Amino acid sequence: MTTMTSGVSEPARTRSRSVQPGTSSAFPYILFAILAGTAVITLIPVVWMLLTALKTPADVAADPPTWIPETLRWANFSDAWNFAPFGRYLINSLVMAGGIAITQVVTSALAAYAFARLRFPGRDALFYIYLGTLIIPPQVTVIPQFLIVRELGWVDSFAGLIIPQAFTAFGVFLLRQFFMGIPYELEEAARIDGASRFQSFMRIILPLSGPALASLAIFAFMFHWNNLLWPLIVSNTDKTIPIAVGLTRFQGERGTDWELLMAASVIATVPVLIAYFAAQRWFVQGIAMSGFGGR
Amino acid sequence: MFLLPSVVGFFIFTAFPVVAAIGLAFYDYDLLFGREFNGLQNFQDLVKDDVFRAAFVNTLYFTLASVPLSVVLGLGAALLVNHALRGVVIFRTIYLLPYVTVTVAVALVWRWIYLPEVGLMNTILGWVGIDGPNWLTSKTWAMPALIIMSVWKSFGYNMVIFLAGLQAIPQHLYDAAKVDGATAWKRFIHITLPMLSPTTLFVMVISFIGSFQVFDQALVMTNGGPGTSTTTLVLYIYQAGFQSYKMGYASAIALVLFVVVAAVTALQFMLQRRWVYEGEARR
Amino acid sequence: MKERSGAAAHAFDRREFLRVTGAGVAGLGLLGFAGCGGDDGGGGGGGGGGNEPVTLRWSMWSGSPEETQVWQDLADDVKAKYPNITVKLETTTFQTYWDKLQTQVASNTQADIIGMQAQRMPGFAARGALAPLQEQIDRNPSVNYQDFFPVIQDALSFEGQPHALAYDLGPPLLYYNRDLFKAARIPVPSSTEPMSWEEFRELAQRLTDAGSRQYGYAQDWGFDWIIPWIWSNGGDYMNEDASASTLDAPEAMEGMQFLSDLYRDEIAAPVTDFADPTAGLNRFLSGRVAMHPNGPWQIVNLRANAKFNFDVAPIPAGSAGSIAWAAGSGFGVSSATDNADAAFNAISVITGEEALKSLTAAGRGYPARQSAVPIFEEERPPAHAAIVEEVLNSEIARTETRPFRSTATWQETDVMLTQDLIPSVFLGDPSIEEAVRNVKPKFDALLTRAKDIESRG
Repeated sequence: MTTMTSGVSEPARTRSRSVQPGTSSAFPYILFAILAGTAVITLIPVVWMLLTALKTPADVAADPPTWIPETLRWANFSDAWNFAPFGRYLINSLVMAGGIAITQVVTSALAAYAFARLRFPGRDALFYIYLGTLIIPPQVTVIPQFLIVRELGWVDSFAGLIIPQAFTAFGVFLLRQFFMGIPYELEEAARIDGASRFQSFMRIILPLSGPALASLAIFAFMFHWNNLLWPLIVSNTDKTIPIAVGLTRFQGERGTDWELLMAASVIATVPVLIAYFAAQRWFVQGIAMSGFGGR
Repeated sequence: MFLLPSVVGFFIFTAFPVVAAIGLAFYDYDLLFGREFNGLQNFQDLVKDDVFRAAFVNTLYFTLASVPLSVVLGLGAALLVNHALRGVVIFRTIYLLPYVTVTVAVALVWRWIYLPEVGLMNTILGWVGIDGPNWLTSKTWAMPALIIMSVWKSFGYNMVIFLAGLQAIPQHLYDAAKVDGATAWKRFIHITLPMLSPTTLFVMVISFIGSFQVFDQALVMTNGGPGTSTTTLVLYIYQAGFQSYKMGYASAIALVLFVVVAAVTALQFMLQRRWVYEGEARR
Repeated sequence: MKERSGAAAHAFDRREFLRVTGAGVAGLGLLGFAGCGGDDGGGGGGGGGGNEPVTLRWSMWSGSPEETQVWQDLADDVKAKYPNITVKLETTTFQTYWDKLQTQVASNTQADIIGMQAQRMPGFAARGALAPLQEQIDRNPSVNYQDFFPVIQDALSFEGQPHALAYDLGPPLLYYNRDLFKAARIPVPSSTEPMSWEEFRELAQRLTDAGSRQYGYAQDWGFDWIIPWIWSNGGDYMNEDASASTLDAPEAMEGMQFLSDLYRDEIAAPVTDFADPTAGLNRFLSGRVAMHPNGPWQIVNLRANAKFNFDVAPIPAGSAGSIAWAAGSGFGVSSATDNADAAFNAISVITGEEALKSLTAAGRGYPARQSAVPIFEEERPPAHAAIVEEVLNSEIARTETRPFRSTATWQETDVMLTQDLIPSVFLGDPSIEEAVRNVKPKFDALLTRAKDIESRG
């Protein structure tokens, strides 16, 4: 039952297996070598992207390829900026992914609370309908969703990008599980003091659910930052195009200017990497919770 | 009142479209002309459509290759990082990194890695004396290229779920086994794997559903080519619906996708009784 | 109680994190905004002229910032002539333009002014997306419609009605890299007489050095660029009344086979990227390819991006001659616009004599108006710009230029050919015969569907 000593925060319930004192003393080194080797292979494409983004066209064309650029060409980034409105795309992505994350958390939390705490006729049936849609690939509904968005006049608008994605059975399910784990007594005390359902939801449940809400939000944010199909269909002009779609266009435009393509890819990736490193714990927790949720 | 926003939105944008997708599959629906009921015509056409057949087979190929790889690698990585070693968290972070990168961006990187002349893949293969193929323009190698890229991207996700599963296994089981003198390998086979089987089932279901939806990589790296050798079902839905205007036909493809995913998921849950450990249920 | 404070701490962390990353990302975004502002120019109304101020959206494809700037200048010209009209340019790459236009048309969000290519015109006109322009042309004699080359007037008409005003047209030309010829001490291709296929193959062979990855030839892999090989060998891709495909005729198959053999024998640079329709052009631009067929509209990109000297010659002549299509592009008015007259006025400026002269001077292609041709012939490079007119008018021996023929289902036909025919031609797998056997019934079915759409539309 060793907890980690590396100083990196880790929930106390984590039980990693400690390296056995009885086993050969070479074991940690072998393990470390395997870990490091795998890490290097995993990192190659990302490192390659970063390095290429700083190469001159001559270095890019070099055969065999060179790893470390002779001179770092930071101008690739400004060139990429000038070729396509990446600033606009990043803002669009931020609005879209952020908007989806916020609305998902709000709608899911409310519905999850109802499923977890309220009694009403048809509750279980409704919940099973929600559950059932979890296994439906979102691409199945893309065409009707597009037709609905078209009827509403939301094509090429943020409403069209955000609202159809704002309701998630997954989020409802995840938060319901979490809410059910909150002791009922905590709420009861507040109810006795005359708090309404909504008040007790706001004052008791939500504050206790910070980690779960954060996990859902960060998960939704990353997923939709990355999502391609729906914005590819709905957004048409620079005013709504998110970065993933912007990149596919940029590819068509500068097909073989690899240093620019890589610079643009770095531009698209850095924000999610920042988010990932800053909120890694919640993100990992979100995945892990989704894992437990499936059982 | 709590439910209202979610339920209204859910019914408009999820439940209703599911029903509509089924309905539309029975229409001839040109986006600009409106629709016309045509019964089973779309499905009859699907049977004869060799692009659909290719897309179906390709998706199956992609799934059957990438799911086992990514599950096994995910489990392996989880076992590795489950040791209390200095800095092990850093490795966990690194392994999960591909999963959080933007697919389109890394697909561009991989497109270049696969270039026959100056690409990294063939350069590295060259070091060990292998003359690598023209990955993305070869009918044989384009799909493996997409699979390698996708496994790279997804195994970290599986690792995290496995890790959570591993850490939920009661330590006393291992302690008892050790007292009985079981080797590490025996402990893995008799304790870890059975105790982990619910997690494994979940990972497999999720990976399966995910890989049946593969789209971004195929669009960016090969656009389904050469020929139809990397055209996937979702890419074909996109092509039929949003490039050829055939919304009804695209819905019919989507319906097939749905039925297959639902059937295989159900099958996996049915088979679970055979191998998933259910004793000592944890809630 | 303890638990609650723990949760509060979490919540605080989360908020802090969101604030930090949010600010970071927004900061990055703003940076970009500052970096690419200025593109948009003046928005808003602008009075004068006594007319209501209107803002029109103009959708167009563009392959480079240089090209976008050329169109932006024309949008500004509209403002200069009609101060009440503001034209907002929306550009995307050629590759994505057509998919987007379809979604836009389907959802009624298309721009007021629509860039249109001759071979895609039937698909959009048959579905009623473009407004017929005859009446406005008659009302505005200043448009001087007769000045347009008749072949492009025809190409941009549907059922006898003009649906767009053209800005360019052109036949494929054989671009060549003068530096590579010079280095190999080989005389450059004649600009007055097309070489035969055999001569062409031998020349390409001599300029190929596969070891150093230099190739004699490279072309883009789209079907458009296969057509000249079919025609020049006396074949065609569909019959006279567009009711059946004729790709299975021996002439057509032999033409494709000749091209395919260039790739099989590695005289042509292997296609390394089917996700990039301009892979051949990019190869040529890299300076390691001696010859490459493309339209005069690429001159602007070549001037800006080719780091070598280039010139043009007629494409090689097969057994039937050097036969290629004349395709062109122009601008139509959306049938859904609220400002049809303003949009027509705008396109009459954008395709006006002055505009086409400046477009031509910028190298954007061969002008659709005869009055602008002299400008084209003045600009350098290429040194032999004058051959375009000679090719267009079939004034060079054995050259012939035909209109590009397409159908209301051309978009789908193109996708189908990309899937089923292109790999045979460029990868040799499966054989041309086998591919054509597979393609023929599909092509025929799409032609039938096209007739159906045209009769409904």
